[in-house]
Amino acid sequence: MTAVVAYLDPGSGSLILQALVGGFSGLVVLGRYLWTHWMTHKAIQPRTELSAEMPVVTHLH
Amino acid sequence: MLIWQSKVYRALSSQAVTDWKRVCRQPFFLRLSTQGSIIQTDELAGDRVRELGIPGTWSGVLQHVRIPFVSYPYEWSFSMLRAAALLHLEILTEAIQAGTILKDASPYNVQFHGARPVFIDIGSFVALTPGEPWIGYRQFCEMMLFPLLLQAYRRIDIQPVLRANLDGISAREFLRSLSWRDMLRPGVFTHGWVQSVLERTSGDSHENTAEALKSSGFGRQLILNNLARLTTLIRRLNWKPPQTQWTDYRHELPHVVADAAAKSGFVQSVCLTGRRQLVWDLGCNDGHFSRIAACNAEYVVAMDQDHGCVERLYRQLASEGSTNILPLCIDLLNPSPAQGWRGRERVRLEERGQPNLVLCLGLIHHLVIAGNIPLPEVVDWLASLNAEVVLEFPSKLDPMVQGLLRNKRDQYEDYSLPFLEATLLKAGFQIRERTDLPSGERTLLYLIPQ
Repeated sequence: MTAVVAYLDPGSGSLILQALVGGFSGLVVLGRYLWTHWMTHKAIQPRTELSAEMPVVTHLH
Repeated sequence: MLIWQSKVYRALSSQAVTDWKRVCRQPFFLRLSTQGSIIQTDELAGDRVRELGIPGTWSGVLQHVRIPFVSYPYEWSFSMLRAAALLHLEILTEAIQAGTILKDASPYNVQFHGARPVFIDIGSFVALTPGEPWIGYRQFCEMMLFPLLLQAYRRIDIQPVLRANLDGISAREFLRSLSWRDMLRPGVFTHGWVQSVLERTSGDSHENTAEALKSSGFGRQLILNNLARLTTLIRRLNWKPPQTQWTDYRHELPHVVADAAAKSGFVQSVCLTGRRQLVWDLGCNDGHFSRIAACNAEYVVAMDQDHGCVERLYRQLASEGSTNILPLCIDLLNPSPAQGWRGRERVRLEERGQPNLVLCLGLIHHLVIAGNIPLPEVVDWLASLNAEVVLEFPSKLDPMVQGLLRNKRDQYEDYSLPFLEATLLKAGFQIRERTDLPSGERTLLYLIPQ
């Protein structure tokens, strides 16, 4: 897969907006994007909470 | 970009050579180049590059046709910026259909050849990666769309906005100049408010949004839909230049009408003494004298500080398809300086081309009396241009000068024809010809630098 990079900072919000103004098919893309974004966010969050409760191991034998 | 022996070259890296070889054969590129919308460009063979002695080691070198006088968006009128934006959208639309995209969306990629916009940044054309969004969309909004909307909806002149902000204005800054009522105007809510909110809320995200959108099925049709909407929006934008004291100046003021024929005749006789490469018409108003000069000159730059005058002149020239008069918004009391990184990115006005003839008609009293520039300073500046000059001098009894002095203390003791002539001679000018105009209070001088 080719990485999408540019010398110009396109701005995340401006990129997302392009799906929003792209008509019905754009809304479908936006829906998929938001779903993936939400799922990724959800998958990361519990691990963060768990790590906060874990005891700190100071000695390893 | 480099200028070598008065010719314009573009030095290319190996990637840029690949992009050039790809785009230069595409039908849309060839068609737009032929019709003059994209700058005419030739690739130089390696031995030709060595023969020319172009400095540096490059994978390839292109040669561009030289634009007669470089101008910047902060010197353009509303319709000029609009024409540049529409040209950008047109080229981008055709490029995307051919599998190519422009990697940025700066109005500096467009120059004007007379009243005709020309896309000059050949290095912007790159292959479109499937699923890639339009990277230049935000830049397009910040540098072209938002200034146009501000001018059309709020009558905020684009020149000071773009001169102070070389990268344009963000959606957030754009919204600050608008009222809630403006949200209902086309383009403001979507491109302005929604973009501002999305930028703010997605600012902390660490993901590569372009990649994520690509994985979600983003396709080129979405860009084309956006481009079509932007084209319709910008085509419909309109700005009506306000009526100022300079509107219809030449037809309404009695002394101007009385002098018109003699003044035109004098300018014409000077222009007929030889064909000039570059003429500057300072304080061009409706461009009447620019047109006279253009009859016997390669190129005329018509400058005026009044945005309305320049806008009207551009519209007329554009409708005529003129390519040898370039109208620009220039305030001579504060002309375009060197700007950008180390002051080297944008060149000051005087360094962009040496005029052979300068028309300075109905201007000197504005510089000296309204602008408080000492008369010897004005003469010194004219002498620094090292060009022939047609200078109009209205005496203190002229109605326009009296109007300027009406509410001021007359501290301009040296504002007189004898002092002017002595200063001109001291500055190295030779007064080749002198004519008093029929109104009785104005004199025309034809000056030659020595």
